[in-house]
Amino acid sequence: MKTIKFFAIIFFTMVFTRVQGQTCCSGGTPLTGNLGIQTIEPGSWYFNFSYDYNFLDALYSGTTLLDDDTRDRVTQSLLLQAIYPISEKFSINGLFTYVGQQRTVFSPLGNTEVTNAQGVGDMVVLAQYTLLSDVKRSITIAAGPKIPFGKFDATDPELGLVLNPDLQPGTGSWDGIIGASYNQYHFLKPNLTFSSYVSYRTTTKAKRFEGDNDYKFGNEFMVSAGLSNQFLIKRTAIGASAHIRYRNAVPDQISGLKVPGTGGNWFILIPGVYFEPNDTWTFSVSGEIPLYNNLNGTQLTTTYRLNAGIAIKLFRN
Amino acid sequence: MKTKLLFIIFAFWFVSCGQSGDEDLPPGDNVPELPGEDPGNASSVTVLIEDDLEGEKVILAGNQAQNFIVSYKRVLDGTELQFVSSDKNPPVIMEDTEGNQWDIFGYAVEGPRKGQQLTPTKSLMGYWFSFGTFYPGIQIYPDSDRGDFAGEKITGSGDWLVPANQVRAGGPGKDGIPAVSNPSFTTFSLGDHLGSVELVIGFRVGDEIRGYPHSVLDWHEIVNDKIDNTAFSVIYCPLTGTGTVWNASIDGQETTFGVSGLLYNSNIIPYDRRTDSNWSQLFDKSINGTLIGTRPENFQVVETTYATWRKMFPTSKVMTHNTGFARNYDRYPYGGYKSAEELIFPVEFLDNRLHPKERVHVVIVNDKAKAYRFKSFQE
Repeated sequence: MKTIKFFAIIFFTMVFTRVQGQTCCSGGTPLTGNLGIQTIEPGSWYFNFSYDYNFLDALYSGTTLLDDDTRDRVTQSLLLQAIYPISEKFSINGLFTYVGQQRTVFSPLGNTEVTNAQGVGDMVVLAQYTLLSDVKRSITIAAGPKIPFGKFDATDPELGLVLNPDLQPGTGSWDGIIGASYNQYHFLKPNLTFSSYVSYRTTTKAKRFEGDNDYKFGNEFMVSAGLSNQFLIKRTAIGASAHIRYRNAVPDQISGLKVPGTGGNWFILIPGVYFEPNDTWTFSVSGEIPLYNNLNGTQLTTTYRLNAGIAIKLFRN
Repeated sequence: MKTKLLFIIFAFWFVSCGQSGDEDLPPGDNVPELPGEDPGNASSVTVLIEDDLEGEKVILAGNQAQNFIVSYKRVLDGTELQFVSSDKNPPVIMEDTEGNQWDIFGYAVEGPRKGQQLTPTKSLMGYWFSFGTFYPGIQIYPDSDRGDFAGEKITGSGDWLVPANQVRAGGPGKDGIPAVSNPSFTTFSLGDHLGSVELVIGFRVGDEIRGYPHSVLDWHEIVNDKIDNTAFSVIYCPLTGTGTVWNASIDGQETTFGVSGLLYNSNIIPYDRRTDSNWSQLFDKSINGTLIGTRPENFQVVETTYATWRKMFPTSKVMTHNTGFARNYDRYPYGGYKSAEELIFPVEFLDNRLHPKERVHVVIVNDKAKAYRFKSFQE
């Protein structure tokens, strides 16, 4: 077991040393943060349908929160994650999204300009391999592409101009994602679970303006770790969790030039609660509270984020 | 083992934070060497160039060390003046054979024509690529070659005087870059919020002289201001490096300008708040909306470094960082853009004869343009 722990540490740290990192206004398509790598028993289907609300009105310059009320952003997403085990070790994990973006600018003259874009977002398909799964712990690794299903040429309805990349439902690029999760059950005490997750997304270029230039979202690294405690009330399992997530994104690029005000480092607290009335259903609510931001240039970032989900496990027998 | 794991994760997180810090540059003294500029060998003498463009006789005065180029018509009241460089104290930059001394704003400060002003050319400073795309076939002094785009011109489509499909949404949205409408000023004795080599856009109405620093304009792009009864808008596009001052009284009605969030040829499209018409700074007219085709009245500006400006006009006022908005004015918001060959937004005609970001002075006569490089003002 010590060997497995050792390799888990090495894996995490190797990924860390290559830190480059999503982007700007984290109003972009929410993907990796919602990609839970779950270990599913063979013969069952797992579906998680969730709603994600990301509110951004915190304007940061580096680590400094600026006193600004000139704009805000809201990203709302509907996400469907499906996991199907092909064998005891292998499973397929898919994430499908529908994304709504909204930008509001409060003019100094008191006018309000609202811009919206919505549509099917990008899709992620991961091949998962469970290295270990027993009553004490589980380790799963995963890799796969992010497929540019989402619209990347959404236009402003008034002027018909192509909107900025971070307002698009999709990213327009094929990306690669690798990730791993490690869970330790009965951690310190019988109902406590330690869980951690690491992922890295490497991005490619997307063509814009009839191919006149290209846009590349920054590579993204993410790691999270935390605890969840579960107890039973009349056969219903109720749990509370708290995780810390670190996220690093390198700046986006336009035709090879770094895009101002994109990329940085985020340190986030993710509290959550869930309850499982039976083996089939799980209801969960979680939030994101920024703890520390160190961002490139000046950019709008998340003030808070909420996620509510319903997960269902369907057993073949 | 668990403690070790957490420690290693934290340690690498800490290291990685240091790796991807803020890459913005300060606007002050620590700017990198810019294309077309060689501060180590900069000539400190003001050099004059006489030239003719489309039959217009012009005089250009440039000083590499003080980082300015200005241009005027040589003919005043029907007389063609003959100029020589002046070694008098700033802001005097040249003298003529009649015995007049002329300052950087073209005013005669001594001599028989004292108080008179030379007629400024229609001209502006900015990055080479912006003039290459707005004035295809532009000449570069002293050559007469017009490059690969001679004969090309900008043609409009739809409701626009420019190709509608070349108008881009710049990113922040309308008023997402907030124009400043209540600028505050200070005197130089208190104006040490600026770096000595930071560029300032200088503007003069009568005896009132004001400086608008790039460190503010990079973040706001437009400052709506008024001196006595003259309402005007200082308009600066950080992507093309071009600064202009427009009369904010249009067709006899006063307005202010805001940042539409749109770009044409990577250049700012201001909108006027009275009619909501869109304008192009470098196309120099309203390109969409009820005022389409209307030309703004351009006031003369002088662009130079803060140090030069302070030396020339020690009693002038300079805009402060108290804009009513919270921004980090100590940082240039566009990273390495000033010296990079790449552009953020595509342009219609990309003229590669010079580095895209080389700052040049361009004189425009009858919609024909000619660029003057700082290197032509070497003593």
